[in-house]
Order: sequence, then C-alpha cells, then structure tokens
Amino acid sequence: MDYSAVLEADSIDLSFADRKILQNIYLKMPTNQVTALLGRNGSGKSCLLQIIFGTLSPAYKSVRWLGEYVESPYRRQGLLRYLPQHPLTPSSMRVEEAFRRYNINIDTIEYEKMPLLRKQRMGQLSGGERRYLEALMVLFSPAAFVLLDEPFSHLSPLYVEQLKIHIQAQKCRKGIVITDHLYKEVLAVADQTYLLQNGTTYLLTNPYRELKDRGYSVEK
Amino acid sequence: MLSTVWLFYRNFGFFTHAVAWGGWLLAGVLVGEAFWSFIAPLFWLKLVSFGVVWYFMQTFSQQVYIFYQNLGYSIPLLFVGSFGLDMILFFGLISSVEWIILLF
Repeated sequence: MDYSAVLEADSIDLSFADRKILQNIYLKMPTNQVTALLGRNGSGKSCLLQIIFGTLSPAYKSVRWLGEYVESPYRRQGLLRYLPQHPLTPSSMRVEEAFRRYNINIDTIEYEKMPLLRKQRMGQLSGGERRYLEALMVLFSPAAFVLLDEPFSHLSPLYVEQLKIHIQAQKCRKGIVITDHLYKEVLAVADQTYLLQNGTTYLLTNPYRELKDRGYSVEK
Repeated sequence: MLSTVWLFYRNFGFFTHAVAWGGWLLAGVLVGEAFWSFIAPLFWLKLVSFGVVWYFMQTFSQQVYIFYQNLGYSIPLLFVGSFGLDMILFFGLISSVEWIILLF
C-alpha cells in the first residue's frame, strides 16, 4: 500500500448555536480501503462527510490529501465525489446523461436492467432503482475518494448485495468512506471502522464487540 | 462548463426571463432611444430576480447543488455563470424583438 495516499480529517469543531456536534475528530482514510463511519442518528455523520467534501464550513477543520491542506476538497479535480442521503441527480435528467456527465462509461456498469433504464429519466425510476444508480454513479466516478452517505437506504436485499460487490471491486481503484445504519452490511465490506460518539471519533479494533460495549448495537 | 451552467440555469431561467419580460411590457414595450434608457432598470431587475432565486434555493433546495459540486463547481460560480448566460440570452432576445418592431 502507498502510505502517502491518505485523506485525513482532523481538528474539526462544529457547533449549531450552543450545541456542540463535532469536536476532536480524527479520521485517516487510505486509498484502496473501505472506511466505515458508524454512529447513532444525529451524531453528526452526514455533517462530517459534508465537511470532508468541503460544502459545510465548521469553526475549525483540517482536511489533508497527501499531507497537504485542502481548503475546498470538492473543487480539487479528481479528488472527491459525494453521495448525499437525498436524491442526487435532477429528476428530468436521463440515466445515460447522468453517467456521461460524471465521466462514466455506462456500458461498463454490470446491471441487468441498465438497457431498459438508460433512456429513462431519473424521476421516472422507483426510489430504490434511483438510489442504486446514483450510488453506482458516485462509486464508479473517476475520483481518488468517494463518500457514500447511507447508500443502502431504500435498497432491496438483492441490490444491497450487488452494491457490496461493486464496493469491494472499486476499492482497488480508490478510497471509499461509507456510513449507513445497516451496520452489518457496512462491516462486511469495511477494512477499518470508526464510531462517531459524543461528537468524537473512535477507531474500533474489534467492531462488533466495541459497538455493543459502546451502546451502538444490542446484538451479540 | 457552459453545458453544466446551462443545466443549472434551466432550474430557474423561465422565472428570471418572465420577470424581465414582464418589466419590459409594464414599462410600455420601449423601443429605440427609450429602450436604451431602460437598460439600467432592466439590469437591476435581473439582479433582484437572481437574488430571489438564490434565497429560495438556499432556503428550500440546497440539495440541488451537490450534483454540480461533485463536478467541481461552487455555488457562486454557478450563479455568476448563470447570470452571465441569462444576460446574454435576454438582451440578445430583446434586441432582436426591438429590431423586428422597428422594422415593421
């Protein structure tokens, strides 16, 4: 592994009014690995991803790529792409146009329904199909890192499994940061796991055990 | 870049055009010398309509931006590009209409 190809985020301090959301954050995200970010609802996972992407400005932050500070990571050509929780693409846009604008050759995507869907508009797709295609759009993007915020939401079990296969295949080309409440699915593809709790991050060495000990999960 | 700005501009271009054309119609379909004296108010009308669009998008449709930010475009760049495009389109169209009116 090239140890210099690391995206780091630290010294992040985010508050809304008097409420502290994030403090003393440290995330080290290497390329060719899947970094999982878990946390309860409202713990600040999406905010943290937006801060790393560069579209949310906290009081303090340091996002570094190859050891160099990056002010607006999303403006750095080929560095980052982000899948938000909400629909990403304009509803009037056709599937093939959306992939083309993200510089992805749609013919390289292995998805049995693609021939049927490629001419359709994003707004005509079911919620699950749209979510799956948008996750693929971001995942297959020509970027060093992709940030996936709840990519498994609205997906049927079959699509979840297919997306996990794509994530595993794509990690040899980029770094992947993923957050989702389907933590077992996330842990199945993760190389390292962080828990976001009480506004700060903990790198877990034994994720299943520590998630239970820290009160995130209830299962054995 | 132009293609991406055009895609973004299409979200609200109809509104900004409707406001400016409405202003021109309310002013009495000015042509010739009178039209040129109305250029500055039209420019300010455009600027205000863009301010309204920006406010509503910031308040209700912030999620629209992510698609463009993934392509490396910041919000100010999208709005400045759209404003330039809108000015070219509007003043190009209104000059053509004025020329046709004067011709006939």
